[in-house]
Amino acid sequence: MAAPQAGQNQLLSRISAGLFDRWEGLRVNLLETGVAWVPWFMWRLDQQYRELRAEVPWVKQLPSDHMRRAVRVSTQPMTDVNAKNFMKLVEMAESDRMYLFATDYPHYDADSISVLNGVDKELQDRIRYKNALESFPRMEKLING
Amino acid sequence: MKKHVLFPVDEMKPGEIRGVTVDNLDLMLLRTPEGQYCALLDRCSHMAAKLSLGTLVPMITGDFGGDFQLVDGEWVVRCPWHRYEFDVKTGVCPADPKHVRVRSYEVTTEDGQVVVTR
Repeated sequence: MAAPQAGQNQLLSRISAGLFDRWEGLRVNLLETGVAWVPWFMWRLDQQYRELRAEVPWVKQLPSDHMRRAVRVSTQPMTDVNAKNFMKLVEMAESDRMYLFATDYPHYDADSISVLNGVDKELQDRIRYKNALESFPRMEKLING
Repeated sequence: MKKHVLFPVDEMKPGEIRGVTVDNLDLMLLRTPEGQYCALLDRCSHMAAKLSLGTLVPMITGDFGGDFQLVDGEWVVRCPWHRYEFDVKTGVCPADPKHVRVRSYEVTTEDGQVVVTR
């Protein structure tokens, strides 16, 4: 249960400290923190920022905008989030760029490669490899030579 | 658009905020410490609290973590309920200028009187 909280704490710290404003090229990938908390966290942080901006005046954008631009979250563990609900999460986050497919193999509780079955094909491609290629630009060269 | 004469310019002290009703519309009227009058709709766009019960504070900015700077001559009114800020001249919320604002109204002084146009 601690993994999502740890991810949220680290994100909150980085956003409110102004790291994403100070270093626009900074990218953060969170692994193994789950998927369902992301839209709620964006809403909650935006709400707090609207109310408390003066406490962190060096933060120049809505936290959710920083997250859409610079934060990626691995799909593993999908837990019981089914395809239909996963697509709703993407819709609520207002970005199809935030999730990266991952299984956590070879851990005993690794996700199956089939966890995205049933998700729209275009979105599956985004999650399965396009977002990863954008997050790790040198990977395409390594794969294709 | 119609002009509404409110009261003499000296009626409000610099830094003062008050609620006024103009043509059946509740407005938050304030006078900045520099003496300029500004008017916003007296209803926070978040949950409709009266901004005239809020606080006039300097606009705060910063360039890096821990850096707090007061911007000369820029003021925001802070909502009494949830601390939303609104630029007193434009009504724009600096935290979310694309989505959050309250309507602002033109205030002038004519013949020693404060005049609101709406």
